[in-house]
Amino acid sequence: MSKRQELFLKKYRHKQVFIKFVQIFLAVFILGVWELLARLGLIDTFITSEPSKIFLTIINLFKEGNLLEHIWVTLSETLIAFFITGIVSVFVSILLYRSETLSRIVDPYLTILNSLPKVALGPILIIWIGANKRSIIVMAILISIIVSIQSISVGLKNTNKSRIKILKTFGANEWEILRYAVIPSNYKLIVNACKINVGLCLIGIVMGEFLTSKAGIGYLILYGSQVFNLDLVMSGIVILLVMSILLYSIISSIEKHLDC
Amino acid sequence: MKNKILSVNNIFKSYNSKSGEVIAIDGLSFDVYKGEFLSIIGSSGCGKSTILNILSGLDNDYEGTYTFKDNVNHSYMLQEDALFPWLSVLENTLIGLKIQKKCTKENIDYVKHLLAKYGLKDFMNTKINNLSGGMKQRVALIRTIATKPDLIFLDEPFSALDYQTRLKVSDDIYRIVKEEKITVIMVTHNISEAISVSDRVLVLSKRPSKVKNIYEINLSNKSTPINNRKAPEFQEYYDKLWKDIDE
Repeated sequence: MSKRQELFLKKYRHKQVFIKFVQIFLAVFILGVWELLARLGLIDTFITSEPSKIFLTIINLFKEGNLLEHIWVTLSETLIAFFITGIVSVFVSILLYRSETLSRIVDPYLTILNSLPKVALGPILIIWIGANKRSIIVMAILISIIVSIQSISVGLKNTNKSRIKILKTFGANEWEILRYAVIPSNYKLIVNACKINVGLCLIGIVMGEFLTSKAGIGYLILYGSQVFNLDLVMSGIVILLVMSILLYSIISSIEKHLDC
Repeated sequence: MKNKILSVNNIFKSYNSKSGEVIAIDGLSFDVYKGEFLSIIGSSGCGKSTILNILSGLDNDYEGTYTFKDNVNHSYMLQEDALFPWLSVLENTLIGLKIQKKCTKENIDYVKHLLAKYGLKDFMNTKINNLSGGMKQRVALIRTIATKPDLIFLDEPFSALDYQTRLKVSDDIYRIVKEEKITVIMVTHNISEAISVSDRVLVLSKRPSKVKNIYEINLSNKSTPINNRKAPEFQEYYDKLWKDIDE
């Protein structure tokens, strides 16, 4: 290895280490300052809570035995919404890809629906579907599905035309063109849409739980704020953070295993 | 050589759009003979690719007729390699057979034999993106001939390559189609390329295009395309074709 290459690698490694270090340091610093200010009585923990209390609250919630149940409610609702969104949006995108006319007809509707704040539909959902799990799941689907359809259908339409042409010259039918060219060309895009969807579904579920719920992390947070227990509110947020990181990293690892 | 494999009669094609009609081809007729390498050249935008789209059955919106001799099987190779990067070299070359439901053991062995014969034996299970531009083009050609066509259409098959690779790949492809005894109709705008590989060169007029001239290319010591460029008659043909296209 040449001197220059060695120098380059050394610099490169230093930079990597520096970035990781600052990332971790920032988190520790913020938590530390928060805790310190609370201990010194400089901030009112009644409205700000503090890291050690949040930690204790989470432990207590576990011991009382119902935290896992709340996590499970939110997680299962999120996953149901996520799978329905994924399947329906791939299916609709294929329909839009197949028919240019249909795509042009629905395009303005998709654009308008996309910019509509879906939470505004909450009261209607509760009246139509009822104050139950189903409205929460529908809320999450509404939030994620339009973006998902838009991004996947644009990808399908941009499939390399030469690849499609080659398949046609061999006499491929529509289904074979989808199967051999269009879908595999867009694996990456579909997985990326999934990454976004899983986050949006979690947002939608918590929003739904704020509107109507008897359990779930959203319910915990709302309940905490109503009884002015900020430790509970903050704990709920921390649990949601951890859940979103986990869901995201599951999809990221699936992406790494997909060879594309 | 006078064994006719395809005859094209009076093809007319126009493109209609909101802003008007553009006549691309008007009264195009020519014949193609078994085993020959026919190049179609013309200035850009004169409808060269349109001709291949019509003859290969991709475009059915035209007037006029063309007839293949019975049982002529044809296939197509594009300017871009248009390979599938998520498949291996072997899987790529088998895609045509797969679609035509002819993935028999015998046909797969034939494709493997082609890959081995043309220097891709060690790359059968390699992903496409690990190949050089020239190798990709060879894979694309083997995919094209895997279905054992009698006639292939080449649409500017070398123009995406740099000059060095281009010369080498045109040699490769020439060798392969001659060895496998395949008739070729190639569309190009490159005059030297057309002279160096072809038995005949058909010059199209500017739009709306029809046949302007057909040249039989008779070079002394005809061998590989690279050597053909050194033939004494090469420059003569070049000048003639150049004038024809330019007029």
